[in-house]
Amino acid sequence: MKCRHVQSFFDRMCREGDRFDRPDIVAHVKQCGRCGRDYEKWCGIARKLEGVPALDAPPALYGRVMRAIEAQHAGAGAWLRWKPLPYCAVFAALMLIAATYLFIGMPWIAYRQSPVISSTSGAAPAEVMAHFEIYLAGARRVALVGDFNGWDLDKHLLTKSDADTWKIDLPIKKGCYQYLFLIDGTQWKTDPCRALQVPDGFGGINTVIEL
Amino acid sequence: MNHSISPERFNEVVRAYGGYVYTIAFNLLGNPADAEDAAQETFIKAYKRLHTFDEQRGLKNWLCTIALNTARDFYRRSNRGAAAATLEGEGAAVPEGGEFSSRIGARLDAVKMLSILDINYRSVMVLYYMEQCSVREIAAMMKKSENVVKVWLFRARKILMEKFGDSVV
Repeated sequence: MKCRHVQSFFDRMCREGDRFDRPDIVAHVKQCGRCGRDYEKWCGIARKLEGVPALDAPPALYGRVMRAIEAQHAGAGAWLRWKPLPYCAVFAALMLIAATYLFIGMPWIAYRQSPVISSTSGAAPAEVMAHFEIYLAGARRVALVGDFNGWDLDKHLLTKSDADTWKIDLPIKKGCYQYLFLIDGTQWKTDPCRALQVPDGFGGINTVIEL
Repeated sequence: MNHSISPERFNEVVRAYGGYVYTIAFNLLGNPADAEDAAQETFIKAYKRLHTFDEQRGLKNWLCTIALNTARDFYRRSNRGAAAATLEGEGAAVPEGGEFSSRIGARLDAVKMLSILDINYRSVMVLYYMEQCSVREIAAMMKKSENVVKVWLFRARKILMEKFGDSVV
């Protein structure tokens, strides 16, 4: 029995102990000083690698992943809407419109386009003060996370008032927004004070506020 | 279509396997911040490739393969010298406080040991010893033959024994 043949069995010997079924290998390790020492060393290293406790995911990972997927999802939707259009047909249509406009000069094209161009102007929506409040016994940190702050987990933290009531007042532009409360960085909760709720597209529910 | 996970239920996958994917990334990269980024990218890739998921192969195995390849890409992209210096220095960037950091601290000793290995050797060691994958599974994940995996395991063990053998006996 050569030493180089023995070393490939160290793993099984470490793992199976007395149940290891190669007496010739066991005998070699016992009588060969070098292989005996190597076997002891290897068992020490293997124990160090195998006996490590598993890790939990960081609390922010879930939120980060779902926000990124949501963004991807929205992007993919826009792409899919355009994909079915045959590019040559689009190109041909554009060329036809350009040729019509330049060479035939039909005035009604310009007439029909002008209202569309002028309709893009508009004033920025005004801000209104929105009040958010939730009763939570035993919570240590409550964040308000939603469309209005880009689903930032740390931007808007609620302050604790009496009897475990958490509150925040925020100036938000008029519009319709989805949001949730994030409790202690791990637990998502809908707002029990507002009845309007919608599915978030990933199996969960978001609260909706309309300002 | 051979997949059984709907995009709407993907959040359950992230919750159930977040720790598993993060652990693999941390074992390979040795840095909590990089591991979190790699875990995020793993799930995004998985979401995009839901149509490639084969139920026969198992969700855990499928995610493990994506996590492994993503972490290896991260390793190649990042500055290797800087990563090694962080691991060998007084301490990597471990978040302070709580059970989370104590577990990372315990795992960091093992990860420090593996950090002297080339990324291929490190990958097979992580999968074989820390994730308890078989040689056949590792070969399938890394798209190598079983013999290549065995040779890598053998060489990695030898390097570790030479470097750390005396300190663990």
